[in-house]
Amino acid sequence: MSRLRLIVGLTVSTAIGLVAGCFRDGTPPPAFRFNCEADSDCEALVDDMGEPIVDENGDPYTEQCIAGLCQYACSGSVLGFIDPSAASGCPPDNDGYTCFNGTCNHLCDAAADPPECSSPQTCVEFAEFGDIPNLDSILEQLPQERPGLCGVLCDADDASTCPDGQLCFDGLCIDLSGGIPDTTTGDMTGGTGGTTTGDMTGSTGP
Amino acid sequence: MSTPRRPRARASGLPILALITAGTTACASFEAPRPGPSALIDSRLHIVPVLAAKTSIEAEPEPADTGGRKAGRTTATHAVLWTGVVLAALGGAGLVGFGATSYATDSKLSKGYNEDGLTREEQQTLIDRGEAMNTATIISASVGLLGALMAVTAYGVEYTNCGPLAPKSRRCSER
Repeated sequence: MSRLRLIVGLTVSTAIGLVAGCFRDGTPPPAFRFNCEADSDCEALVDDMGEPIVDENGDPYTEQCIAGLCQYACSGSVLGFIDPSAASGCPPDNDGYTCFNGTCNHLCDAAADPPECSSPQTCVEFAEFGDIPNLDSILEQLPQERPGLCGVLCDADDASTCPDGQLCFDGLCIDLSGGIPDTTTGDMTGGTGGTTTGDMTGSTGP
Repeated sequence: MSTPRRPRARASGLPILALITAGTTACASFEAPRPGPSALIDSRLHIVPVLAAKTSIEAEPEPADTGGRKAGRTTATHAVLWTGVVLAALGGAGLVGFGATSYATDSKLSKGYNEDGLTREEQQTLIDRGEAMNTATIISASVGLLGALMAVTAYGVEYTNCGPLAPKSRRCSER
């Protein structure tokens, strides 16, 4: 009986060891961005077959090294999050890219520990964006405790930290084509419709 | 006139009658007993002597080189047993070592995703290393399992044959 227990114990522990000790090639979380020093460290977006995914102009979506992270540059507004028809310039993705401060970013949970965003990005809560119409109803449907977007806050003194045509208000790049928003009350409804293009922060260029 | 002859005729028939009676009823007593065990066993148990007899293999005298063959077989069993033990030990050690390295690689990749950050090159290096460790872990487990099977089988042979490696497992001295 004791031998049977010994054999069963060895078998079970071996099986557990095999399962626990196995390397699993897990896919990175959606908000993860690879570190880089130059654009050559980054890659083009490809599908499951290895074919490059192209935009409406037929150009492949290619990452750029922005702020030390491989990211897709965009020129849309963060308000595209609540306006699916807004053109952001971000690639299609199941997890949903949102153009925020010139780069395509994913949703995050500011309450998560460890942080979900790759440094130097931080999780900027939607609460900091001010009163955006229909935002509360959307946030209620999200699973995150404190939903936000990964990104780097812009510098009001450095215009290059925002896409062309956008200005930095309280760390957020705002498209002024619809008028100057009232940041004191958090009214940012005038910032929609950004379609300008420009250089992104920290891009080293191709 | 004929009356005095009757006692004489009766006297002459008695020996004839005795002879016929003896010949028909007591013939068995005249048969001599057969030699061997069948004479002592009921004829309906005729199979018993066959069962009692040794088979041709058993009755055959052992060849002169049986001792040498038995010693060679024991040596081979011991070689298989200890080879299995060594393989099981190596496989187990490899399983633990490579498994731990796989786990460490997996943890490093997860930590890179969640905290430290990674370049694509570092990610590919970790993935290649992790997959190599997975392969080594599986091979180690297979070698260890094979060794364990060899050792158990060889020990089973020793156990069955009351070999020197398993003398206390059975009452081999009573066999």
